[in-house]
Amino acid sequence: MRLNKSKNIPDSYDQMKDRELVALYRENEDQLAFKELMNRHQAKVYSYIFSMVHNREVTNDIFQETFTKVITKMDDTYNEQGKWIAWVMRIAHNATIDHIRKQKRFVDVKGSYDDDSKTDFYDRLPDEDAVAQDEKLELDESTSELLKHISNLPEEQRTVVMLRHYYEMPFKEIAELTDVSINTALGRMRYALINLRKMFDEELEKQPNSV
Amino acid sequence: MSREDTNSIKYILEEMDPAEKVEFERVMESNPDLRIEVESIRRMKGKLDNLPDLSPPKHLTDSILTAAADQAKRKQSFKSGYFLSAAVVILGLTTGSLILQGSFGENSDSGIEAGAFSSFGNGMIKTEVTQTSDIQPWVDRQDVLRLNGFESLSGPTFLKEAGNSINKLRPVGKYPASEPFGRSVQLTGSNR
Repeated sequence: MRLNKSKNIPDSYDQMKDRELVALYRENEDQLAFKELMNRHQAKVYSYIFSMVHNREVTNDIFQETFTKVITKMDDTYNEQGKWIAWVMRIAHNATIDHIRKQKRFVDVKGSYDDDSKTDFYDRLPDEDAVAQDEKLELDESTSELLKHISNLPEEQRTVVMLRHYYEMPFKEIAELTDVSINTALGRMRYALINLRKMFDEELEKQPNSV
Repeated sequence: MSREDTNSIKYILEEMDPAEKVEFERVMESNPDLRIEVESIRRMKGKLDNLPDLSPPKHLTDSILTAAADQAKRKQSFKSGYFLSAAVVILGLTTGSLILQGSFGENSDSGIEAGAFSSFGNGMIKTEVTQTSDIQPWVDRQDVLRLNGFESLSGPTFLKEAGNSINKLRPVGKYPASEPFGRSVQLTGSNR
């Protein structure tokens, strides 16, 4: 999905390749070029982050963090030989994984009964279903079911599925980004799809009118 | 993960080259389990295709675009400052170089005293350089008194400087026996 096209953005920007727009922004501080880049890729970056964290607020934070880094580091760390969006995705992916790992550490903190809050470990576990319910409000049932199952995939499998889906990223690039071999990345994709199918099957079996 | 295990996913995601694809389809013909797996994975992949693209809220994109604009402005002002500084440095170096060239040009003619003039803007700056010669007497191995620094002198200046240098000579009071070939100046020309 694109931003509303500004009257100020010349039509020629539509025809430009990413690297041409990046060069315009880097060399001429052309803000319209940056806006066009945002237009093209923002929805995919945002959707990828959301598919990994399943929370709008967190997605907003990570999205902002990603583009703040993009803006401040584009001159120093982006190498024009590579695709700009792959570089942006690497930043988004790293920020997302950082968040997920921090969350895991948070959950792992204390397993015993807490006298202050009068809660035990199970009371303090985050209610993922509650988050999913919040997000469901904006999505149809089958999509939110799919998202729920995706959120239950192991992080490594989820990452490969989402990178492939939202970026049609070649497995060579996915393998580089996730620091594994191509075969491992392909294997994760296969297991992810098999696991998703199982989750859908189990869901179907739970339904009262299922045979 | 074996190659065989990943073939089904490579096939569905069209990551196989044509030869691999033909070979895989041939294997699939004779393997019903593989056909079932491929079909199952394909159906699941089809479900993923329905995942929606979500858009970030407008306030978020606006704030990012504002940050990009601010960054662009900072870069512009940095560039302006950088070019201004570079211009000042270049101007300074050029002027300095001109001044020095002028002064050395004069020196090479006169040797000791030189006046260098250079123009800077509308005014004239006079740079006066006075070189004081430093003529040093010394005695060579044959005990001959030599005076360094006379090469560039001539006429009355030579005589004046020579006189000054001679005045620098001091008789040796107590010559140290441990230095038979010392390079001290001795009026007698002998070290014994």
